[in-house]
Amino acid sequence: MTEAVAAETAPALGLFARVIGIITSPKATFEAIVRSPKVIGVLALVAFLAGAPQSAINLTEKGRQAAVDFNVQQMEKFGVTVTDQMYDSIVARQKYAVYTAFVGTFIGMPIFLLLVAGIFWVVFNAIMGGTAEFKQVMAVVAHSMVISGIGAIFTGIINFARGSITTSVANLGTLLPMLPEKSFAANIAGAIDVFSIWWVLVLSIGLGVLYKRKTSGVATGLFTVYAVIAICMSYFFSKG
Amino acid sequence: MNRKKLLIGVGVVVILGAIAYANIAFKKETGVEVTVEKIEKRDLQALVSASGKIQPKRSVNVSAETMGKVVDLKVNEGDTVAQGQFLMQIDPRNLQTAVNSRTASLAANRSALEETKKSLENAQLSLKTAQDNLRRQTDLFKAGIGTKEVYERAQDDVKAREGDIARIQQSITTQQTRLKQDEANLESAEYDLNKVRLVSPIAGIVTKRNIEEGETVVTGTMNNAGTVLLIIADMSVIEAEVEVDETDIPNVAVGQIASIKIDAFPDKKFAAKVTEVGNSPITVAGQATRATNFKVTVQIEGLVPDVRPGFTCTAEITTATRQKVVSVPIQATTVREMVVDANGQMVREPIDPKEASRPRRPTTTAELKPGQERKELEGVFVVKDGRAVFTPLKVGIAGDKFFEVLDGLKEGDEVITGPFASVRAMKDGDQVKISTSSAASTTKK
Repeated sequence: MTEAVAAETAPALGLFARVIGIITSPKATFEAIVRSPKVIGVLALVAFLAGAPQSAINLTEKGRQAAVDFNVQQMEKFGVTVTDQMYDSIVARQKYAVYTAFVGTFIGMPIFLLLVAGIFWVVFNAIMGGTAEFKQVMAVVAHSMVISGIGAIFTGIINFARGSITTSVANLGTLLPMLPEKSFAANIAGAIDVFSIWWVLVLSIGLGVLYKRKTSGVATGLFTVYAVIAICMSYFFSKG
Repeated sequence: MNRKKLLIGVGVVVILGAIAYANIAFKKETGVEVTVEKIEKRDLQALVSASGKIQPKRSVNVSAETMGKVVDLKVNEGDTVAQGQFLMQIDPRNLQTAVNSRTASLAANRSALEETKKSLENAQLSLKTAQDNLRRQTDLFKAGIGTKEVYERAQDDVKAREGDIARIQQSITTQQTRLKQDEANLESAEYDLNKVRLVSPIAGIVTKRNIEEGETVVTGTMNNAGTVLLIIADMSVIEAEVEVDETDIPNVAVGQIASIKIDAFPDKKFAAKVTEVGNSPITVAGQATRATNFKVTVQIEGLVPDVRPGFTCTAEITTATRQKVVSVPIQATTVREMVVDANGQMVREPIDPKEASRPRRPTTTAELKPGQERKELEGVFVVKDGRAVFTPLKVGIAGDKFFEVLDGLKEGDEVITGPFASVRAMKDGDQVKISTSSAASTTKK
């Protein structure tokens, strides 16, 4: 009883403390976040972390060319034949990518957050009978995305060092270069990403704290969804 | 607890460090997998292939020159006949009668001529007698012994005998002329009789028989296929009449060697030589959109046993040969729109070694410098430093599988030959990986 009172009356953590806490003591940090849910600050930070590498890589000619090549590869991956006109257009757009990457991230990140938080709120509140507020869900998801932000920084550094861009550099596929390209096994290995796993794990802790459920149960559910998506995508791209 | 967190932290750092290292060290070789072939010197033959039909060099249509019923027919389709060999007999009775009649008439006239000649001899004797009598009466009249009346009668008698001889000689001339006419008539009748006995004009094979024994033939006329009784083909000299496409015809010339493959004898090839090249296109009524072809005649050297006119065949005419020339596989050649300078030389941006891993992109229109333009060039992709480098080519003759390279490649260059879809979509500077099977086969070569 004394501990509960002490917890309820404990001062809210600052942004820096929460970000560090998500990395070092996620459970305790989420408990503080649930008590005092804050979204804007951490959302801005995550958007910055995600947008900065994308923007930074476009500051150099080498980085811009890498980004152009990445865009072309992505289009060709989905079966689009890139014509000279399309290529010219991509090159022209890339000149403004320093700004558009940032702006895009700051627009896209809140939308993504609302979407993900909405799904969890519907699943845990409407379906599973939870009582958490939507703001709390948003706060948990937003803070868990700090891990994604770290992943974006790591990916940006590696991409810059390599001189080429890929969406995921911290996956199992990088450690298994002997797997045939575009094979199902290679795609599966590529889907097992350290930062994604870390994010799902932290998110599971956060949702477990918020809905007073065991982390293992939530994590099992989330990892199952992750695995299904990974398998489906791997199959799709190995056939394509 | 702190120790546990420390260990987790160290673990995370180690994992991320390993991943970072792997990203740099195990950087995957990108690019499409391609098959390559090394450029070599080869003997090349430029071939023009065309299909057509086997024909004898000479064939004769046998028609009747007189009308009548066929009473004897000695040949069937496929029979081999010698020159002068009896083929068929048209009913000869009418013509034989005419011959007999004219023979008899000729004999009668000859006999009459002989009689007249005898008459001439008698008349000549009578004249001689009359002349002798005239000489005696003249002597007697001059001697005053004979009378003038007897003398003048002897003179008239000589004149009468001379007149007889002239008349008989004229008769002989007339009869001799008539005799010649009769001989001509007989000869004509015999000729007509001869026309009902048909013999082969050449040695060959009966390739067509349009008549049966008992049928009535009509007199043959030119360009009237219905009056042709037999077709005899001289199969000792066989030709192939083939249709060559207009794009190939400029390369075909009389005297070029060829090989003929007859569909009926799939395992054999026959040596041949071009003997005629048509100057006018083959026209087929009602086929305005048909490809323009020209007739080329190729004569097969030597005999072809069991061959029949009309067999379908394919001729491969060797229009050019090259010995030990640099050659490139045909499937490796392709066409790309590239930037060329004012001299027509392809402009290629140098590859920055620092950016070697990045695929190069075509120069955009906005980046063209003065004098430069985009132009379609024929060439191949040569593998250099893991990249497909488009190399313009100047090609010579085209063999069965290779083009002669006049300029652009040298022995030992590795050109990309496949897969087809990759070559079709490939761009200058694309990164490529040589397939292991291709590399092995190239090394073996």
